[in-house]
Amino acid sequence: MKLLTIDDSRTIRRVISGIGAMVGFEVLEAENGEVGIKVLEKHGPEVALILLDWNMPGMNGLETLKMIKADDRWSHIPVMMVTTEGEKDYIVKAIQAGAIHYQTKPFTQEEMATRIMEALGMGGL
Amino acid sequence: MAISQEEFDIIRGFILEHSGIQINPGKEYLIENRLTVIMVQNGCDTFFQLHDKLKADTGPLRTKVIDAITTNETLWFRDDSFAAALSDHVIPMLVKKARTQPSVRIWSAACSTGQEPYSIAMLLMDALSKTEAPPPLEKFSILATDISPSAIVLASAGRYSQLAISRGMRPNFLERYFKKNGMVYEVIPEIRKLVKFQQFNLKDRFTEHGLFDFLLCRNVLIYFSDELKKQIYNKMHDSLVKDGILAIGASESPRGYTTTFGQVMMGTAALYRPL
Amino acid sequence: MAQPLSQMEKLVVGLRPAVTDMMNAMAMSEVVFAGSETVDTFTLSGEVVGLVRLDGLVRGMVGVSCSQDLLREIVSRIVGLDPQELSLEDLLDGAAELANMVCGGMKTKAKIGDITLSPPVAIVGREYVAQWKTVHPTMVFTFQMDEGVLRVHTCL
Repeated sequence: MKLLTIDDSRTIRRVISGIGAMVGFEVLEAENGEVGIKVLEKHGPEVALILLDWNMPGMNGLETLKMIKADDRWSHIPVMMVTTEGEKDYIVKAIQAGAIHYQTKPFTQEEMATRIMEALGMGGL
Repeated sequence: MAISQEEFDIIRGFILEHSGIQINPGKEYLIENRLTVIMVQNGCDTFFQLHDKLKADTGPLRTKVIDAITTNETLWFRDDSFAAALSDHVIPMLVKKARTQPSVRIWSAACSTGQEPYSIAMLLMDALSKTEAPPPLEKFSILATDISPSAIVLASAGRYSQLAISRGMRPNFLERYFKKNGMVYEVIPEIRKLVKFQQFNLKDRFTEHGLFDFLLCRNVLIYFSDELKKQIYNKMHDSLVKDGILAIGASESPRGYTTTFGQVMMGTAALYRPL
Repeated sequence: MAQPLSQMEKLVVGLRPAVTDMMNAMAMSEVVFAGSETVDTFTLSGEVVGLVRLDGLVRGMVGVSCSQDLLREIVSRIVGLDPQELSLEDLLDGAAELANMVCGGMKTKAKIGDITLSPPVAIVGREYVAQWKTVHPTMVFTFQMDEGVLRVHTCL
């Protein structure tokens, strides 16, 4: 199984790829919501978790999240928001739209690895 | 929306009671930053509601909260006075002990994601490789525990990214004790075999773990209440063999909590022996 | 009794911990706040700058600038690659993301609600001085790292 990071920053995508490898997952990358959906169309069945940025050019993270959750093909895939937006209103909106978890940037590697494991139901949680 | 004083007090009281971790006034942001997501995920509007759920919970939510509050961050042993004290004094002492005792036991009591116990295992293997007629490696065992279950899973996997490695790993150790596999560095099986990981809360009884020759509990007790510090120092004392050694953080001291440890200088680092 | 902080002041208060948190968490680097000054133009004198525009309750611009060597070092620590392996595109993206994380952190810490952040942009070059004439004065915050100086320019 793989992780999918949808983030317009290649820096963040790289960091997440490194952390994914630490927890034992290959990471697919997409630079925006539209590309993310295309990756899902091709690799959907292999994706165990989607890590989704909020502020992106084009379709933003919340819109992308809603689109993912509205499509039967991948509505079951857990989505974790990974964003600089840390206010409660944003967290509420994301959880209400179906995100399973929420991690603010900046994050440490250990923090992100822990969140990924929680979102995947690993780590005895 | 900011956390109210009353909410802060009730949540930090809960955390203190269940993990021993003390969150001081002024650290409201810590609770807010780390727990708002859990609050929302559990359908709560306020921290009062989260507290109600926590009280009714038998485990999973409580674990999640403690996991979110504890900071899982450790480093490899850098070339500092502590690492020098280990290579020049502690490890040679343990190697010497292994010649006459059936086993030598080490406990890394707050191992986080595994850097500390693996670093010790590497120092040990390095020392043995430089020792003439070394005692067998099987005589050594390292118990590594942490309160955070996710940290334990990560630690057991023994996989580290380039960034995690770049935080202090010595190049010669990287070459000898890791195998590069795609984007990650994996700790080699010989090192992993030396370390046994287990989730453990320092508030609980230590007796089940037996006695140790070397115990590390660095930069952890600083988060605990004075009362709990006293208890843990006493439990650590009772978990060490007579000539055992305790390592704590450079800024920490048992003074004021117990009189049962005596300081020993090893190079420029202070370590402690049970009295 | 002390006056309550204005929204702009709240943002400024949030800025310092936003920078130190970001550098600690993402690059595991210590930064020390080394002072601030107020100037009347938005001048970016570093070789590299990441920029984010704020809109909503507070409007303005935030820029993070430093030398190219320092940026290379910071980005290298964040992504865990050798500094020399980083391409120009990596540096541009890194500078933009630094600005993004500083603004996001600042906004979250200030807790003033409705502010939106533009997608970040970045400029990398040498020997230029970029200057904007602005309505508000600009505050320049200097942070010292072992390898050099990082500046945050706010015009809010």
